[in-house]
Amino acid sequence: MHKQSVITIMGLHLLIFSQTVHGVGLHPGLNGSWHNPEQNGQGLVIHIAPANNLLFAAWFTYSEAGGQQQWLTAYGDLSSQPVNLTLTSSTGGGLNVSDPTPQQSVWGSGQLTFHDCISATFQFSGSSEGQIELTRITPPINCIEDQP
Amino acid sequence: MKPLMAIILMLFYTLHSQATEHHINVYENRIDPEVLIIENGDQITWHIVNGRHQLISSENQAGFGFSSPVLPPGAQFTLDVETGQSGEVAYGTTLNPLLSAALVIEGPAVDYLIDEGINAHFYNPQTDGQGLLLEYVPNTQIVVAYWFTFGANNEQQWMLGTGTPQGNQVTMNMSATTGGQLNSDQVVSEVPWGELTLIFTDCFSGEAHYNGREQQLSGSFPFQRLYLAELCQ
Repeated sequence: MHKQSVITIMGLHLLIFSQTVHGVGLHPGLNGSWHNPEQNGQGLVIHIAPANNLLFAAWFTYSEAGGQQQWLTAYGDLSSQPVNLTLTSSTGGGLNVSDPTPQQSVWGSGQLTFHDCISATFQFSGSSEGQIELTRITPPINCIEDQP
Repeated sequence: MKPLMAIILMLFYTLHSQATEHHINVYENRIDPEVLIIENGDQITWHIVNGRHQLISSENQAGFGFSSPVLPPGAQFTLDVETGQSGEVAYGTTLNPLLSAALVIEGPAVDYLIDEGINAHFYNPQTDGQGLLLEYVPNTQIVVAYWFTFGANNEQQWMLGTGTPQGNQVTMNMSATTGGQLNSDQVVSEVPWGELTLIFTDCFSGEAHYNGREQQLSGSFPFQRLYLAELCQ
């Protein structure tokens, strides 16, 4: 292998390594609206509340078969990243009424990995499984990335 | 000095006691403005541009009900708002059941100004299992609201809206998107739902007023923050 190639490969490794360790902590700067631009009309709203050791998210989407609106809520603690999530479904309620009472049930589980202030990966497993690459819809407020 | 002080006080009193006159144009297929923010003491005049309308308010918590006579084109209908309470008053016309609009009667002045301190999850403890996620975007100075709730047949329903805040309140035109599929690029369509007005007492709580034209729903509910946020402490 030529010396120039070795240097290039070492450089690439360094770049990849630096990108791997260069992440973002779980803080409210990540709060806001996220989506996959290729999936217009659905996404997640994410809120991190360190004082409560809580990540809360709502996933605004549609049914697996398509056509019907569906929303799921997700919560997890901030002890690790990826954040492990419990996905819950609330069904059978009425707009601004307490009767009928919505039935809460666990829909599945998920993981949320923040790569930096504007990109994240959401994995989910419930009545269907998948992965969504997320970017921010709205710009972050006071989001600070880790120093490489 | 005493006469001068009296004049200043009279001027001050006059300036603060002036009621604002508002004008609303009613057409066959629209009411303009659709949402009007008013204060107690204001006067509203509806001008019938075309069509024959009887304007009737819905039941509301603001204590402001009205029913006009049948008004032909060119007619006017004037009311003084002296309810002493605040809230949203939805109203419609007998000409077209789907045509509706709303008055938002402002409450007493509140020092709180909407900012990123509202970025959180809010809900009404009386109707657990549904709520609002709010986001104020500083660089565009708009509020984005996601309302996750239920529809007329108890099916899940979520609406999205944006609006520019005015002091402690914001009115947003809400719409629902339909036709999508979970984790798919299937094209969705946007269906207007109605408007939602949020009036904040502070960044922890407030009152929501809604007027869902398509579903002919209107009402109010108090909301409060589900959890703390660093920006609101």
